[in-house]
Amino acid sequence: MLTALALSLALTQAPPKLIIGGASFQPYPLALAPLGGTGAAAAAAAELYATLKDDLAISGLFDPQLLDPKGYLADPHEGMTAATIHFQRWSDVGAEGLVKGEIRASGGRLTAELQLFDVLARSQQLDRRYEVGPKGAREIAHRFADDLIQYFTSEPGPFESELVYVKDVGRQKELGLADWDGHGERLVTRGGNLNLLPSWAPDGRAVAFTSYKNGHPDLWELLLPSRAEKLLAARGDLNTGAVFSPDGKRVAFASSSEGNDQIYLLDLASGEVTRLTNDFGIDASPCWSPDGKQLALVSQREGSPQIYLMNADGSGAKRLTFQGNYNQTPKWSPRGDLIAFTARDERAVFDLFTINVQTGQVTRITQDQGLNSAPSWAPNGRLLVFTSTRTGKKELWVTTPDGNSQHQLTHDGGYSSPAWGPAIPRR
Amino acid sequence: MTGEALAEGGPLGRPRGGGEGPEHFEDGAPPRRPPFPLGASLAISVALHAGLVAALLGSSLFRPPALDPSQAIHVKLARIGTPRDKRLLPRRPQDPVSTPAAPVPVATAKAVPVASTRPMPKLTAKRAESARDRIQSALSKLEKQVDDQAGDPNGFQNGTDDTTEGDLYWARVVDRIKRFYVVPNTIPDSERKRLVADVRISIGPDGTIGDLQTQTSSGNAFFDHAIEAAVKKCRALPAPPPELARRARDGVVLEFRAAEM
Repeated sequence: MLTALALSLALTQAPPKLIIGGASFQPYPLALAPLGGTGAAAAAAAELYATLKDDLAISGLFDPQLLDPKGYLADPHEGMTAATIHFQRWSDVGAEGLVKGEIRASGGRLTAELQLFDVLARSQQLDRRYEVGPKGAREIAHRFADDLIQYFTSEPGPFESELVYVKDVGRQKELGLADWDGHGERLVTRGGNLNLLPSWAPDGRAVAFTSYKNGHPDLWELLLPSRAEKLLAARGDLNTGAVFSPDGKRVAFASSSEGNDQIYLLDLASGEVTRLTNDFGIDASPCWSPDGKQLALVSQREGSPQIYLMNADGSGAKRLTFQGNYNQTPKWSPRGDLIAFTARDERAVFDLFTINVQTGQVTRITQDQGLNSAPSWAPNGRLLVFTSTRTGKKELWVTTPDGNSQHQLTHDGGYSSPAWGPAIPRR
Repeated sequence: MTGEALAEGGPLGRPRGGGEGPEHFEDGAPPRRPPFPLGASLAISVALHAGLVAALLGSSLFRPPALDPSQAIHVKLARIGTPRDKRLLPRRPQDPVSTPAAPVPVATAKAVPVASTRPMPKLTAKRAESARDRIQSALSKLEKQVDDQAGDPNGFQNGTDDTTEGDLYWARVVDRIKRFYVVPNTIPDSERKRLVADVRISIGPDGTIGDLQTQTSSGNAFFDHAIEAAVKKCRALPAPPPELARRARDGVVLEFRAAEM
């Protein structure tokens, strides 16, 4: 039995005590009432509603069926205050939370008022007002979605963040930037070269990447929003996989400057480079733990590529993965508990997995849906973006860490190596 | 008939001696004749045994014990096959067992495609409320019937074993509340491990819940809210047995833990 029973029989004075454990965790039943908006604001209201609905559904935190307005019983024209909302009708469809709002267009600006109500308590919990430019409906949706995430989880939401990724352009590969959901794409490199493996600076003001613009793979830094490019490291024949430390002061990368590929550390202030690994295998793909004290990496020092952990000074290396014989692209969760990675299984199919850093428990995220690779965590650690070929083209997808909720973000193909940016509100 | 005559004859007055009959035993005593013919005796014996077996089969001794419908039986089906090599990467579980579903709302108007030549009547709010009330009433009756039928299959009506009866009753209370123990997954994993809250309720003679009070908050409003909602959604608990009615009425503490125990 999942539930144990404790009964204080001996104490005749004390009331019986029943212990009930093992709650059933379910997505929160939040209803999203269609937003009011007339005239010029009608289209903005529809765009805001669709964007907000996608954000909430993809988050994995809210019941996607209840976000569908087809089953709602309430009068679409009911009021916006606790006194004028017929809560029983929302309760009848299973809602415990209710979002209502309206948007107005005036003087070339959009103004939205959005509220969250507790259906059971029949009270207002959040009241937000946003004013943006005439094309800012999506921005309002992301901001309010983040406000809802903050309210429900006490953690910052990921919906105002951006993605950087590699986009195939003809025979070249350029870096692209987009909203977290793939909208608003713009290419930020136009070098006509191979630009690979982008990685965000923790403040979101720069992206490190590997570029062949000088004929061999070197490390570059793309400054945002200016898009100016700055050479970071060009040592030997190959430099790749640069990742900023959580404090933004150091960059770990792989280089073959002294023979086989090994892991190095670049101090950005002094320009000093320190070698961290020294073994006969190939070491690559470093990534930082959230506290900056450790690095995960891929190493072939024992034959097949496996994921290892070591201290940030290169000491204390130990093997982390023992299942599978081709594990790569480790990405440490912002929560610190899991590392997501790509692995090739016994059928030679690449899929996503996580491994618990403490227990070593490996969990499969994707399966039997094309080739899946290159995971990157959302800043709150509740979602992963990755590349999948399940539609026949290389597209960006997003999933919850358990793999139970997966959604396609892009549709025109040619996407790879996504990196999810930090949660930095653009207000 | 004289005494000699009785001594001479058998119990049925038959003479002992003489060579009249076909049987003749070495001790010289004549064989006693069976009261019935052998064939008839065998037939009666077989019939009696068959009847006895039939009666036993039909009796309660051979009936399976009645199941208490309030007791959940958890079953895990094992997949037959060779265990997966531990050196291989894991597979995702196929056809995952669904987690306990959230309570289904009583009246919903989810659009369901129906193959019909006549359009479905529009579900108005008033009709929905009416339907909800009817369904709720029917559910309450059904639950009462189920609760009335529940009991210890090995017990007897006037039993006084307080411990066994009490344990069974409190287990049914826990089982009932747990059906509605749904917590939003917006609560972070790290916080789930430590969330504990106590609420106190009283249970009326008919199972009605009264005096819901939060004794110890978990510190997480959503968790506190969810367990309060779980108790309220129960509407009523199984009616306590007479020997527990007073304790149930005086108050029961429910300690909710988010994590598995």
